Amino acid sequence: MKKNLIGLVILILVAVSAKAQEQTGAGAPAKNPEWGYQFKGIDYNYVIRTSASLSDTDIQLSSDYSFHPTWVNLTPGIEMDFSNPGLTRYFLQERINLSKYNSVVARMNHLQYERWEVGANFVNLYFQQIRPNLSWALGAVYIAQLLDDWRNPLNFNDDLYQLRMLYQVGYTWRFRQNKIDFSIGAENFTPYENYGYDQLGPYFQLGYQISQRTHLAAMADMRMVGLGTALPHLERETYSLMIDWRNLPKKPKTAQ
Amino acid sequence: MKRIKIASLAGTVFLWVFVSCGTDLNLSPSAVPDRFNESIDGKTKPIILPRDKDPQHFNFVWLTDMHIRTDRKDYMPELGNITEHNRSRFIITSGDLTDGGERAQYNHILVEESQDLKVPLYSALGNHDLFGDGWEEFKDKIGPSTASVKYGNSQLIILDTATCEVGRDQMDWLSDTLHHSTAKHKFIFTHFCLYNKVAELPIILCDPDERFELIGLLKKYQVDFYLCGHGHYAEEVKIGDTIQIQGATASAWNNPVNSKPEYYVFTIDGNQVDYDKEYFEDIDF
Repeated sequence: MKKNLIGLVILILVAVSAKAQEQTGAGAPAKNPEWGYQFKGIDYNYVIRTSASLSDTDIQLSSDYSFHPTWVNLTPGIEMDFSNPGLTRYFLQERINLSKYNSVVARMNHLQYERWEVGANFVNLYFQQIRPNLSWALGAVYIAQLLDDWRNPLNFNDDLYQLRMLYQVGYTWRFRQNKIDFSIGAENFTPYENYGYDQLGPYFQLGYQISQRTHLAAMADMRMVGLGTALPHLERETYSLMIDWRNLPKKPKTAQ
Repeated sequence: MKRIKIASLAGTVFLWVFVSCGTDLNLSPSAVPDRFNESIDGKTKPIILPRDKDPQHFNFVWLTDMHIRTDRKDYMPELGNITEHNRSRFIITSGDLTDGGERAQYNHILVEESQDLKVPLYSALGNHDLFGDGWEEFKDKIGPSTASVKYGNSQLIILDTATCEVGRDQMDWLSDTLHHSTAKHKFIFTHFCLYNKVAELPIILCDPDERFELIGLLKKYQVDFYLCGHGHYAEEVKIGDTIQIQGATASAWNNPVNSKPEYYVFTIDGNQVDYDKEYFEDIDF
């Protein structure tokens, strides 16, 4: 376990070092961004998830806070499961913005299943590039499965640990002066579930920019399994409705 | 430009719908709930346990992934010698008994069973056993995909994970079965494992939530052994107090990745369970 944590720290330091080689150009953040608290926005998801094991409806809430535009961008989040009260999930995410498009994301997730008396702590670490049309992410997750002390979000017991690859790739089309967007892609994890599931997940998302600050999106995500057994089948379906509100400065009114 | 954009978008949507709907068709010829219902309703070959004067003290042979074909050698004759030598009561596998789920392969097994074995052969269902009309043959010639029998002080549970899932009904049945079991020793025989060390490869039970739920059941009901296969890779881990053994293949032509074709002899001696791993190539009787 210690080795993994050290590895995680080294990876973050590598990302930090990469950032230290100051970027220039239009896409780069300001050269001397200042430290200071800023509330960046809030995200609300209504999720319906159906699988062989769990069919649940939940609400996920997360909010973004920045203490430094590059280094400290925190997102705490929680999932409230109404159909399955025994299921608790929450996370804390840190995003290091390497440049306008590139970032490194580290996220600690805690899951606990009261009914089954087991839990899990996950550390996701991935590189993400979000361009106007193309987005992709690649990384890994460290999973500590907990049979004892399973409510502890800081228990990274290595008796039953695993590493898993995370990936996501998507393409977005925008229409009507960017008011409407449509994304399609494949992934094995999303921000709307705390860790990677299954092997292949085709998804699409339809979005509408309600106002400069508010974006509404509907997403459908399908997860396939059994690719390695020559018996592929659909394992999990997820549908979500998301409202994202960004704390952007209002546009000044143009002079008449 | 606009037309190209719309055409590419339409094409991609079509592809997505094609992929997602295609998966919904479920290329597997049978689904877990159907197999589960048929097994529980007794519409398969039944499991008939051997009579034993003292079923608190016995041994059985466990192996997995035999991948039997009509055109290649298999270890059925050796299994006959092993069970005779050890005075084992029965043989049980964790699936992939056949390589292609073909009628000829199942018929071949029946012939070999009658020629070589003097004890019953039971098996969990593997993904290879399902190919083609595999389930139709398996249920008639081998047995149920899901079953629970008590032999002396041991509960022997066969669980169907052949399509990489357990399913709600079967999971509830397992929970209920374990809850009501008064057996001292509990064994689960199934094809997919719950955990593999270090890197999570797509060779374990697919849905993480199902894995968590199963792990919770193993812990809650103190299951002694979870005996699985599929990975063709020998590995033994402890999941809480449960010993999970991912058996390597017991195939004479499909060698395991990190081992040699193997089998285990489990000896139940009252409150004690011992097990030994043996290799087919080391048999000298």
